[in-house]
Amino acid sequence: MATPLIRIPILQIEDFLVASIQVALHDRSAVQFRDDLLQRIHETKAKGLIIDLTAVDIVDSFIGRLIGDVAEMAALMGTRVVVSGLQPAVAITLTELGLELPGIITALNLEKGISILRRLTREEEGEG
Amino acid sequence: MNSSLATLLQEKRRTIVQELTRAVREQAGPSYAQVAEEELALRMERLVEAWQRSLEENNPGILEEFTRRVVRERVQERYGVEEIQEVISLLRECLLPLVETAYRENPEIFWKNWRAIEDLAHRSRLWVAQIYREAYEEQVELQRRTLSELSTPVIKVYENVLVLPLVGAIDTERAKRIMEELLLGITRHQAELVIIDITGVPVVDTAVANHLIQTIKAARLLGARSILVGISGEVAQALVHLQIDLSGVVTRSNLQAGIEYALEQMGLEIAPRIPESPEEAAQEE
Repeated sequence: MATPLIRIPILQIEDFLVASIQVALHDRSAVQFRDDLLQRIHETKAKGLIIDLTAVDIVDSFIGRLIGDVAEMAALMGTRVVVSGLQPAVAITLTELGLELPGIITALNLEKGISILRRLTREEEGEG
Repeated sequence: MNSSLATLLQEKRRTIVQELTRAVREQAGPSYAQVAEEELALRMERLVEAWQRSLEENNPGILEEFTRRVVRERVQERYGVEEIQEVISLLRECLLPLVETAYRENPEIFWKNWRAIEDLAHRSRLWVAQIYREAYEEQVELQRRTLSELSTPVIKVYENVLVLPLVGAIDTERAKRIMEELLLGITRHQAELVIIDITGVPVVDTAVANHLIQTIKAARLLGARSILVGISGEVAQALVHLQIDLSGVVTRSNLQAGIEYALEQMGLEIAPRIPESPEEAAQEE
């Protein structure tokens, strides 16, 4: 039996999008999540995106890679991506898999993630 | 099992204990040779008593329970397993001649008792081996845990700043634990900066360097930045010779410089206290 498709809600707060993953994602749901995210970024022209993984305790290589891909794609669309709330076990798994998400900004929690995004966008506006 | 043997043990207890105490002192091993005479006699009396009760109630569990309690104590006192087993062999050697003299006229009872002794002695030796191993492993595990707690302290030195002072050689096992402890510390304290002090690490080879880099990368995934401090001249040489790339890692000479850097990152600094009023200034001068 096929696993049911889970859709992760993507919320907009000011200029940022916030997606909090609360369940273990299957590959199909993860791909759906990626497509949804890119669609929303396109619609809202958000300046930043926070993917909150506080509630995720297991990550496989597919999800790890997908998060890296999303960050790269979002960057092409002019959106900064912050991953927040990674659990220690997840961080260990990712480094062991060699998926260190080099281009991604990380934050300890959602709150810090938002303040980092605010600072970055302010800096950019200041420059521009 | 056998009540006539129990009666024999009761009747001859004095002789058995005396003989056994002497034999144990002389033959069981260095640990027993150091025990005071009365203490040893008391121990042997309890052993004989346990055998007797076990036989009376036809319940080897009594002897097993006794063995468990005694062996656990002896492990703590660092007795060898062969010393404890030797006591059982000596007891067996004491008992067999007694049975022989007592039941010479009655082969049936004689063999029955003989078998009972062999059976209990055999079981006892097995229990000793098994319980000894369990107790020993528990002790080792306990020491290992203490050591691992000592070896990976994660210290909060300021809001959002952790220090991880590493002392001693790092192997893969320890590196894993260090990584886990540090990451847990980061989430627990919600720390943004981590200072890893390797002043006390004598040798840094490719494996150790890789463990450090992995730890730093994992910490970054959580959202914490790492500062590596305390790289000695020798370690620096080794790192360059091994062509280990630490370019992505912030390094500072020592813990002090690391803390200063961490504070600077948070927009803070350590500065001399400025006296608030002229009177205070005058006082300080």
